[in-house]
Amino acid sequence: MKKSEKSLTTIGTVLLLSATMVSISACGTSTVSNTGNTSGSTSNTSSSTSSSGTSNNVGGTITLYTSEPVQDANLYKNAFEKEYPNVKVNIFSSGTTQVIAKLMAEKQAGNIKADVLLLADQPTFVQLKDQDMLLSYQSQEDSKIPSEFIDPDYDFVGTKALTTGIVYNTSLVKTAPADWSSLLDSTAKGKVIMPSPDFSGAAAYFAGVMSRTSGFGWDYFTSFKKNGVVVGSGNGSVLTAVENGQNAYGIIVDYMAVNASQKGSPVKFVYPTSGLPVITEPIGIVMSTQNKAGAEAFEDFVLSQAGQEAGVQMGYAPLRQGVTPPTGLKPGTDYKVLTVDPKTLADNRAQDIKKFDGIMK
Amino acid sequence: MRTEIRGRAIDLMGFGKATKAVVIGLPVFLVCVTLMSLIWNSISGHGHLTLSVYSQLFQNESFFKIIGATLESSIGGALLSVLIGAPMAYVAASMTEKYVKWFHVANSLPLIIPSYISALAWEFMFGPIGFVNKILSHIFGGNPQVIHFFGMGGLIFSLGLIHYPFVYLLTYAALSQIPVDSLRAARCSGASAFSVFRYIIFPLGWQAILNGALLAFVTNADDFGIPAFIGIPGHVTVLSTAIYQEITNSLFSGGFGSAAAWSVIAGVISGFIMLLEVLASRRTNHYSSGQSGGLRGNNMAVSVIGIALFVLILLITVVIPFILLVITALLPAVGAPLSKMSISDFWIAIENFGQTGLVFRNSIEMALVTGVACSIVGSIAVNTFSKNNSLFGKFVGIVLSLPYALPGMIFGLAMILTFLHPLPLVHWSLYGTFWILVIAYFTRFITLAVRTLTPAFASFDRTQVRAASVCGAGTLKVVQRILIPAMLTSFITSFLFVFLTSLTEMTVSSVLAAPKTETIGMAILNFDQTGDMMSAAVFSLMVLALMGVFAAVVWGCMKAYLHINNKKTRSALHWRLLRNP
Repeated sequence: MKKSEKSLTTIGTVLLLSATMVSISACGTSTVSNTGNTSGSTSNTSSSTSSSGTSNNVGGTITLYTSEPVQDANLYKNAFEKEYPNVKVNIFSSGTTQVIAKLMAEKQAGNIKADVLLLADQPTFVQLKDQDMLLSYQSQEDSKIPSEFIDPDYDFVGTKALTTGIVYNTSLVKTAPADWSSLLDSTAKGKVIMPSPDFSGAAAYFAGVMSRTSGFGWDYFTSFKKNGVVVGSGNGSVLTAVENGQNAYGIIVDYMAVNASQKGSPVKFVYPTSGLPVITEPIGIVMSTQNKAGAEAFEDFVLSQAGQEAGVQMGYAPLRQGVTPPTGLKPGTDYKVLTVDPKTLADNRAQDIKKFDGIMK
Repeated sequence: MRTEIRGRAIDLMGFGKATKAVVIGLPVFLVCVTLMSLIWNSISGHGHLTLSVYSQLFQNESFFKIIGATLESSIGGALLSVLIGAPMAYVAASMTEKYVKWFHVANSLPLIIPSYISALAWEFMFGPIGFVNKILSHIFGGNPQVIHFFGMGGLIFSLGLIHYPFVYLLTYAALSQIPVDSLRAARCSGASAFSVFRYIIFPLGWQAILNGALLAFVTNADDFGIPAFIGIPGHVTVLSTAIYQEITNSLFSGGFGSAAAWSVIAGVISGFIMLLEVLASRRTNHYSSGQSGGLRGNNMAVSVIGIALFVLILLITVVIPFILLVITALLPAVGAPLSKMSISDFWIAIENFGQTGLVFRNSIEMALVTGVACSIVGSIAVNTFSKNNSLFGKFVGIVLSLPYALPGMIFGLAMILTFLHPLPLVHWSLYGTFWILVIAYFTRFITLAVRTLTPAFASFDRTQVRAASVCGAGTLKVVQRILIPAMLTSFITSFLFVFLTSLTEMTVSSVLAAPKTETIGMAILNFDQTGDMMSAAVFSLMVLALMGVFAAVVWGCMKAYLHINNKKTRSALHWRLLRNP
């Protein structure tokens, strides 16, 4: 009796231990591969002026922090690693707020793990620049990118054109909206949804630009409120609501609506005639990078013909001249761009969001 | 003699006092370190100590409105959870044992179905142009919108329905322990049904209900998805959404100071509510656990009414959302005609996302380690403290539950600030590794294990252990013959609870993970944010399938073990009878 009892206890223990061991051994490997990328970043240099590493013998590991979805970021990674076989790219991909929050927490603790940032918009990068977090780098590819999307000090460069326009549900709306004023029409009363600047950087940018554009201003948002606009959370919530017919119209980032429409959703994207704000999702190198050559090579690649074509494959309109945008999206020359100085937007972002929330309450 | 027995009882788990102190001290230490870093962040502005963040907070006119809305939605949701969960637990406890496990699974599903899918399904049903409103406006005419789903009502409804399994699971654990002897004795003495309820069922059940309600409350207060989906369009801001907005707005300006201050306040509120619970539950009832499951099969009517109610709830919380989930996963795009459904879209989503294998492996491993660790440490802690019912133990319980009450993202940021630097003695940083996430999950979810195990240990009769000790049974034998059979169900429930919660965790990992340690929750969050509902649905279905298989395997193993153990005891008895007739 004693024997059988003991053997059962042993079996139980073995089962439990083996379950734990499996996981320990499995994560042991992941820890090892991680130390490779973290070991380099112990001390940091403050100089930001040195010659660019354009030679082919760049190597090592770089870590990319991005708000691109994993599958898109992987397209960049794979195409890049094919061209630079000696460089390994590690990707951390999460929501824009999450990525920046992680970055700022790492900064506060004094050890930033990222080498390259690819996310959000120009005002966000202006704020990073103001905090001395970016390394200046003039890529040889910059010449092909429109100069208004390049930081004057070469701290960051735009990588793509994400416009904010109008999406509508084709089975609910008979006459397509043509301009921003269509959303103030009585036919659209209570049927429009827009993302909240509290949740979406694109929406914050939209509010900042529109409120400073003549003919719109904060009055536009007040009239919007009067026409019963619904404020959702992120751009995803807008797309879902319009796809499902919860709302007939929405304000949204172009590629989301175009991708959905191409997959068969009953939605269509409209470029308003009086112009649209454009977000460029810039790329920049982190000041404390330990692999400057690798980071610069990555920036070169994203701006290059091949990199911009990889972006087209993901459904984004390119910024580089001579690259055709994906079907359904217009090239930058075919619509009017509404712009405001990114520094102004950066300095006023918090107040803008407060003001927006105040109007919509 | 007496002291010797007591000494044995303390040594029960095969641990000395010191080891035990370390085992319980570890999570308490982890919690305190993380909380301290959060508090420190909220009071250290620009290099010196200041309460300016707090004074700004209190001057903010919307502060009290947000606190009020949080309390209203969380308490309202918890009450609704009790209204649904407690009767369901009673039905389960009176049901024939054969069907209980299916009832169990069905009642745990609302917690497991991703909340954004449930929210979407309910929007379809009750939203401004949902079919319920369409029918109602048809009947009443004129008024286009009878039910205002976006806003406080919809928030309470959703939170209450999604989190009722907390109340259900904990109450069931307590009610199923009700001894047959007590009920028989009561009936023999001519007690009315009301008296049985008042003096036997209620005293055993109420603490579990309270525990469940508190867990539901804390979860409601911390929940982000539902308030973002249903509260924001209805202009209802609660703490969790306010904190998220605060982080977004002040990333560059004030660091995390004000977000940290908001979180500290969230923690204080939860802590305060739990303190009330401690004061309310100072008296515990000990029942001898003779033959448990006394309620079983004694009331047909209850079962019939209960099951009818249950089917209705199941329809709203599980069936309709699940159908929606499947349709979404199989369609090429949301809103596309149903004729375009195809299974190939399912595989495309898995293939397109380059890290499917990685995130599943990471999450499963993290959940396994966390589940085992939380259940073991939780058992030791509960066993130590439930014995003497000390205030200190209750205090430890409150401290352990605080990380769960904090918004996940803020908890993740506090972990970064605490663990980014190399550990003092080993000069090796946990940050960026698999283990930082395990530690975060462990610290955050240990309270789930503690709360699941508490009712079981509270109603467990320690005289059995003493009796065994007196008869000369060793520690190992006491554990194997008395503790395991009595506690195994609760232990497994606690393990599954922690395992399933860790498996789908998304907010802590969304800031704490590093390249190569991404989780399933992060993938789903990413899909959700980029509007890729199809991939989100595909991954949710895969998680559901995984959970189903895993839960079935664990329960199967447990049943098999109990069966073998039972048989063995019987054959041992048989053998002894043969030897000494």
